[in-house]
Amino acid sequence: MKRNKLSVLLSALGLCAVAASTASASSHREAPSIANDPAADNTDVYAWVTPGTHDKLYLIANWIPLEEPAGGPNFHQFDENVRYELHLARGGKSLDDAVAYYVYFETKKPKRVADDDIAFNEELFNGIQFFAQIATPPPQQTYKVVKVENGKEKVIARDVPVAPVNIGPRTDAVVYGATYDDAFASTFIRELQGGGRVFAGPRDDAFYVDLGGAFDLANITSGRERPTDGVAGFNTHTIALEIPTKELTGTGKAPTEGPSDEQTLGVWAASSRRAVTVLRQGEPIVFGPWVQVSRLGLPLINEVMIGLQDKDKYNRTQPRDDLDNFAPYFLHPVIVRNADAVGIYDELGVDDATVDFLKHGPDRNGRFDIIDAINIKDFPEAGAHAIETIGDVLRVDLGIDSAFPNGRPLIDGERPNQEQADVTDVLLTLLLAANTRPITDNVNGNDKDLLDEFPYLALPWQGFDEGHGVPAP
Amino acid sequence: MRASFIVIVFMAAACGLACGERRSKREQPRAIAAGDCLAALDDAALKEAQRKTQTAAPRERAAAWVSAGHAFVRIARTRTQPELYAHVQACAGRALEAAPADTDALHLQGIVMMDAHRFGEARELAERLIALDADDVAAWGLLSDASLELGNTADAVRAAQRMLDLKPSLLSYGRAAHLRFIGGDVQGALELYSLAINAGRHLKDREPSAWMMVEAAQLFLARGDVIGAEAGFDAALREVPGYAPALAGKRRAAAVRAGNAQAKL
Repeated sequence: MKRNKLSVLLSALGLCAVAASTASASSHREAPSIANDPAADNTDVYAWVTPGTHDKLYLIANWIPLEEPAGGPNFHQFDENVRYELHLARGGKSLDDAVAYYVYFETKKPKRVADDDIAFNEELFNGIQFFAQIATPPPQQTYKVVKVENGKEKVIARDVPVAPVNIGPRTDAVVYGATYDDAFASTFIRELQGGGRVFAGPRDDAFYVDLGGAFDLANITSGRERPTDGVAGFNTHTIALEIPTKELTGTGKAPTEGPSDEQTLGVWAASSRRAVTVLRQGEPIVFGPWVQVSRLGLPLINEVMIGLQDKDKYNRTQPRDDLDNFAPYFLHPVIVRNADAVGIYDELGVDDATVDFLKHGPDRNGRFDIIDAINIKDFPEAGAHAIETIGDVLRVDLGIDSAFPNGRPLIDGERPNQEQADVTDVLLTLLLAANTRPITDNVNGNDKDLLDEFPYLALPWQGFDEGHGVPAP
Repeated sequence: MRASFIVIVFMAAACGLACGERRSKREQPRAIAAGDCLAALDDAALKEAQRKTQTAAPRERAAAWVSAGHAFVRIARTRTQPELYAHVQACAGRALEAAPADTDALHLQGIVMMDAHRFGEARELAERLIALDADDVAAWGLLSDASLELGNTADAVRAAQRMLDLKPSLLSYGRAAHLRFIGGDVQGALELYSLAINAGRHLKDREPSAWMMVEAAQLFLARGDVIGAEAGFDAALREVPGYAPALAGKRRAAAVRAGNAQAKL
């Protein structure tokens, strides 16, 4: 009787609740308004071969921009609903994948404590905790790496632990049982089947740029008093791969010494989420295909070359279609028109004919000097490459030492806090001045030294005393 | 604060709208009053956006107004102050004055239309945007929302599916979840809310995630799972402290709990 009464009441209440939701559905409120997707947002791609020996390729890609080190209790992590991808095209005639690496993450779910045990349960690592780092035992995330070649997928690493977040000394002592230093972080490096190594986890974002100046309509040339590294003190999430180059030449052999189109890779990173079927017809299948939601090859192409109206399109399309989709952006860079509009060329005393050349190239046919540069035509010497495809990929010739834009090494910088080239300055100089005069944002180094060994990016900033907060007054 | 806000809205100069619709004077978009309103809202991003509307070069002006408009939308949703949509409307109007065909400004205008329950106009706008660019993700979202409000669920589903196929995200998962719920698939809706919440995990603006948590919690409540519902509303309140839809949800959950207790007697 009681049970009947309860179920009647519940269904009545259930109906009321449904009615209430439907009532709110008759307003505009059911649709979230606007959002982007940081967990799937690529920030940088680095790639280079071991100098001299060229026996290994280093592929390092970052996701999740501007992570605040103290951003708890739900600290940043990889998203288990995102497929993280590294794509490698090969040769001068195709931008299709020769090899791709897909990385899938899993996140541990906290163990549920029974309702009648919540009040007096003294254990750590269960669902009653609100500190995420003690809700599940470490590692909180694991991943597998899948290599895709000739349409075949092969798991080359599985159940690999993700390096944890660098929270602070008490977490170190209680949860990790170690100080969060380079030795500790290196325990999360694992071997890949078939050779090479992998690391995934939070690291310092090694990019350095005057974000504030650049995004104030390229306000970097007017003697800015305090050029500011807008990325300083922020972390990012890194996937780092070390791959034997013989796996990537297509011949199974080590690369041949010297430049060649055939053994030049086109590297880009991407991330995909799964489409779902809105209404299912009773089938249990929830998921549809993976849909790419973000990608990145060369630094700053998406940021300063592709217009806002086309960024979604850029993010869901592939480099092989860039020429069809985005040729005007590559050949007639909008940033030059912006620079002209805000008076940068007046300030620098550049004449109108030159400005027109910078906007549209010779005879207004387009800036093919940009294409030549990103296709490493004259690297390491004039006419060394004759790559025919055009797309936002980072070219890396496996047969010669890497130097941006042939690869983007995190090693061999002039100073320990510099990557091999100041890519912001190189690209601004190319885009804004066609290499006729140096353009710089005056931010010339990272706020941490890079490592001289895998995974090369510095330790992540610690939440406890390295966040962006200021000491209380 | 509310009174001074209304004064500010009315003090603000009326400005015309590029699409030339006839509306009563009260409905015309109004320029943002700079000082008091912004100070009262005390939102750094809004202040910065407003500053840019004043300093932007002419060709950047529409984008600046669109940013300011989205800042108002965020504040309106986060603090449940729907009256701020008057400012969103003003921003959309100013953006369209600066650039009548600007897609981002038209997207903002679509949000304004939905808020004002001008669903027919919103659907027309969405269709116009889609005719220009069949891959306009936001326009498909707008078409789905407007179609649903106009009672055309089939069109709403088709548009949401197109949106999802173009870009799986909190926005598209959230719409799909709601449509599953409307179609009676509560379990399927909850699965998609979970995907939406996860996709929003790293967003700086916490309101979209909090809203998804409230929507999911309402489904738990509808199923009679009071504990699940309360956990959902509490999760939303951790994301956005004081979030009114979550507080309202908690009251509903408390009422159900009280009703259950009564029933047991």
